Amino acid sequence: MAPRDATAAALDTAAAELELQGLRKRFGNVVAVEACDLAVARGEIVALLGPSGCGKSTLLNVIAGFEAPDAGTVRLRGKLLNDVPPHRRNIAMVFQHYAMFPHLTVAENIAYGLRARRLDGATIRARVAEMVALLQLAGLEDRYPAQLSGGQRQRVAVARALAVRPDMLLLDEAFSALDRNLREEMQLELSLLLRRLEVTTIMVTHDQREAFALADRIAVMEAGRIAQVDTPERVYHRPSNRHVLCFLGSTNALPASLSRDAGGVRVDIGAGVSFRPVPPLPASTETGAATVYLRAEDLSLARAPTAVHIADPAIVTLRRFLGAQERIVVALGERQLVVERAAERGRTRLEVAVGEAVFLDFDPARCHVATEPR
Amino acid sequence: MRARPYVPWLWLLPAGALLIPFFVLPLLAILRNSVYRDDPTRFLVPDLTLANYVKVLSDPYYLGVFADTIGIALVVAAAALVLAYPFALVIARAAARSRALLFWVVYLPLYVSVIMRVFGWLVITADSGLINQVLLGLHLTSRPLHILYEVEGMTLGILHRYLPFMILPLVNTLQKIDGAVLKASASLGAGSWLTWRRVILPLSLPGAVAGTQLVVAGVLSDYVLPLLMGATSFPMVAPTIYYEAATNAAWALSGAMASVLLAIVGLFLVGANLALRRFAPWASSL
Repeated sequence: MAPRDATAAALDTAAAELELQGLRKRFGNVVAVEACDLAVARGEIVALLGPSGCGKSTLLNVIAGFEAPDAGTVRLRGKLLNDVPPHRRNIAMVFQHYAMFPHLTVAENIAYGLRARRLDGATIRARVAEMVALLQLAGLEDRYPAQLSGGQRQRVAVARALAVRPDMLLLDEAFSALDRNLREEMQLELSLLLRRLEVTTIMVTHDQREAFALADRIAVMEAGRIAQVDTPERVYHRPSNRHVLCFLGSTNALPASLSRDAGGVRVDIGAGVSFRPVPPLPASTETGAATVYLRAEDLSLARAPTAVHIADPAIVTLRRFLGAQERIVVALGERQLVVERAAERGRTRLEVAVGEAVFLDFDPARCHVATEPR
Repeated sequence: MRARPYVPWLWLLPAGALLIPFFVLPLLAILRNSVYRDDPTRFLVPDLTLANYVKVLSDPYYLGVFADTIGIALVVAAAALVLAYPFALVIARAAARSRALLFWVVYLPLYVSVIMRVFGWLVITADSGLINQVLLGLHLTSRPLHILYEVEGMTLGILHRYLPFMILPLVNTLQKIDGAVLKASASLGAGSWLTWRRVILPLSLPGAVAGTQLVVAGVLSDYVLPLLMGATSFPMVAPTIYYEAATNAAWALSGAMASVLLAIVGLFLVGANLALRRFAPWASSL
């Protein structure tokens, strides 16, 4: 495993806009959130990323005030929020299915939070007009939510949340109800908008593409805990544990064995694939069973034996076209390996067909070796 | 597959076989009677006349009966709304098991014959009944209060009979309110009172209107409770229609009263729907 670089993206917590410390929330015996610490800077966009049931939505609900934590503190601009009810936190939320008020028009939906704040009519009208312009909702002001498309509803939900000038914005799976093209369009647009307005944002998603598309930093969650918080590049290339590694991208996890020779520790995946880890494993490493993690895009194919693959070629068993990429499954002895590469035909690329024998190639520096069996 | 469009109409046949001879035809007969003339010696005389309607709509006695009945219906509907809202909110928010129990409480009176329920009220409201025994025992009153066979007792009985018809549609609309909408309201800065007034109340309006329609239509044409619990000094429409027809043999006059009652109920139902469309235009597009 790559060592976790804690200093690189760590924040000076004194300057943090939102600070979570030691948060814990259980439902009966089920641990939803455990020992969660997080500091978010002003204007920063942080994604809580993880599979369903990892506690990310509970954490968001604790920040919003819909769930009271069993332990730990939530601070916003230094102020303790634990005992502040949701409607006094000035934290606005965009919900998964937008939670429009069905009995209010678009303009009334946007004005809702402004009316709750008892702003005067002229201010409300000006703010609604500003939001309508900002989210390109002109002409839809008098429609009811039932008369809007999914994309339009999401714009209204964002406009409604931003209209109150919240100290913080929470996005709860806010794009999952949109189809893919619209989703990517909205992600781009919202990403630009939130950066322009410098809105501090926490978003919850199970979709790593979404997290990468919007977030400045990603907090990968696992079983109620935050496993790693870092920039998208770092969590992807320098994952702190194999959960993070396996959750991001498509990763091959291969049983391997470690042995020692004159040059140091060697990793053997079997069927003629072996390599010396980069950086080298310490000489004190115990030999025996281990696991090698290797991302699908870090594997390439060759017609002839390579530096890491000298004997017994692998056999291509499946080839799938994915648009910009193609996915090739090869059988190496008993094991199935997934290889992903650009689908466009390049000069250096080996053309393969199902049933063909190929040799694997990869950069040992791209491998993550765990010294325990899988 | 060519015959397919006709199939749904055929499905109406069993119900139609029952409703057409035993409901639609008698109703048409009542409408026909209402334009005939009552004759002391010849029963119904087929002269086409609007005299019965003129009498019903101008005679202070009949106008009073209609006005009093409408008044009772409105009072009962208003009281039912006030009682039903908190109850329906509790049901809508209750966990599955307690919700089933609460539903049972609502349904239970409907499983019991209305006669049995009235007997229950007799035991409670009679001069020697439970309420008066308690009041006398606590020396809060020296003579028993007359509740039974008075307007008050009758109204109480009617309210009890129709309360479930207000609760059930209300629960239905309250349950349909998305929990995320209530969270959204809070996250936008609205406290629980504001959320109630600006989200829950308007979103439950269709249920309140449906419940009011059921209660008002039911009370306007209720016969049993006025008969068993009412006061002779406070006649309601349905027993009066029966009295005119059965005792006075005034089939034409009672036919006109029945038609006017039917028109009032119909106008109220249509009016309530129009009001809902006017004040909750979003409800039809949901």
